Amino acid sequence: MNNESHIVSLLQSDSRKAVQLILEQYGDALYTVAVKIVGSKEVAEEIMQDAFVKVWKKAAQYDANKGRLFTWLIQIVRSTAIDKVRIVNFQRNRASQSLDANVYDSMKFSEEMQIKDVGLHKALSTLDEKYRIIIELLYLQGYTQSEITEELGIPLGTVKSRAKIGIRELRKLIGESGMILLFMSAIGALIEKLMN
Amino acid sequence: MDIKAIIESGILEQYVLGLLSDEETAKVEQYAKDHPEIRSALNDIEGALATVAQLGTIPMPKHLPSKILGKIDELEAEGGPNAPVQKKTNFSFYILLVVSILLALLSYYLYTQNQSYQESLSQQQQQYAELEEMCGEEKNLLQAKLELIRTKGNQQIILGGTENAPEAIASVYYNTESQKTYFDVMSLPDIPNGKQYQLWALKDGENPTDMGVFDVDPNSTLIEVPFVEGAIGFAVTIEDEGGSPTPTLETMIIVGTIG
Repeated sequence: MNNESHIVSLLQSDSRKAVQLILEQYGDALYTVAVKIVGSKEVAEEIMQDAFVKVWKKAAQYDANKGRLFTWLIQIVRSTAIDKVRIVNFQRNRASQSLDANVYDSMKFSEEMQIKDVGLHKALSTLDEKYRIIIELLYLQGYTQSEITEELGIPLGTVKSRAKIGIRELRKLIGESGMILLFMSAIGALIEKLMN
Repeated sequence: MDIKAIIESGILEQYVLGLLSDEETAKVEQYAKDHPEIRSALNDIEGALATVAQLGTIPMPKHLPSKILGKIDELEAEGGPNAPVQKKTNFSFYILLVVSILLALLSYYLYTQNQSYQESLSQQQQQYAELEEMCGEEKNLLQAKLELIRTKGNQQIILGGTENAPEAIASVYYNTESQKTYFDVMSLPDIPNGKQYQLWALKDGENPTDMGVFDVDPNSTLIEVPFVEGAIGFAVTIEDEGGSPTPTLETMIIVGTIG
């Protein structure tokens, strides 16, 4: 994405501006990850602050050859949140009690969801639940594979293979919905413009 | 290395999820560097997961972005991670350098200033000491002169200026009791080189008696001169250097008689 490469180049030259653009582009997604891990909006705000100070400090260390910007960002937010959870001795079971609800929520058609997301969401809703949970826990909630093993009572090998297959299915679904997605985002952008 | 096998193994998904050890992570990064297909597969995995992350998000509080940027501004002011840190150090270094140089110059200036004050102070102290000494001498001289004048039997004869020098004036203290004579030049004009003043004692019906030649010395105004018995007056003439046996009346400067 053009926007991504612009931010990446800013990370080297003007990390404050880069942080600003990242917040605009990915702020909500990263905040959501923080909320899911710590289970509190107030604490998630702290996590966001700490994580973005890290982003700002480590800006020059980001290497586009090693992965995409969002992967780097979500890793920073996840690890910051998990460290916090460990420090305050947050109990993971608190999150796990509402685990199903969480997963359901995040994949659900949310009120704030933008119009361009609709097509994609539809596509993703066809993804098998057993893969969805694994992706949600690993990617968005920062669980380790052995934590999932304990939590869901499935063997480590199964966790690994479900992660792999789940992502593969995801790629397929996104690929299939790619054309619709493109169309929907064009309409979404148009409507946003009209509304402004 | 079988690229397809790597892609199939699921290690790339694990990499993107951040589940690999440092060693395995480095291995995947090397694969991605060496094989564009692996790079591309990773890119797709990352893209798919990023798409999931951006669905159904909870909007962050409106104030959060400005709070975060405010925090960064704060840290940046303290010295951020970017180039400004280096610049700032350099900048303050230069300021320090300039201030040091200015201080050094100021110190040098004050030092030399002080030196010159010290010098002029010691000069003035010396001058003061000299003046004090001169005043002391002057005082002793005046005291001596006063004592001479006050000596019993002294007669003061004022020698007034002639036509040659109407402003000229001098005194002779003539004491017949102590047989001493003092001559006090009060004001005499300068005379040309090769000429000297000569003092004469005037006597009734006799030729004037030579009392010696003198130069006008501004420091010593009272000089002892020979006592001449039976003098009725005194006069000063200008003569050739060394004096003359008889006075040259045309050059008479001052004259005065007793009584």
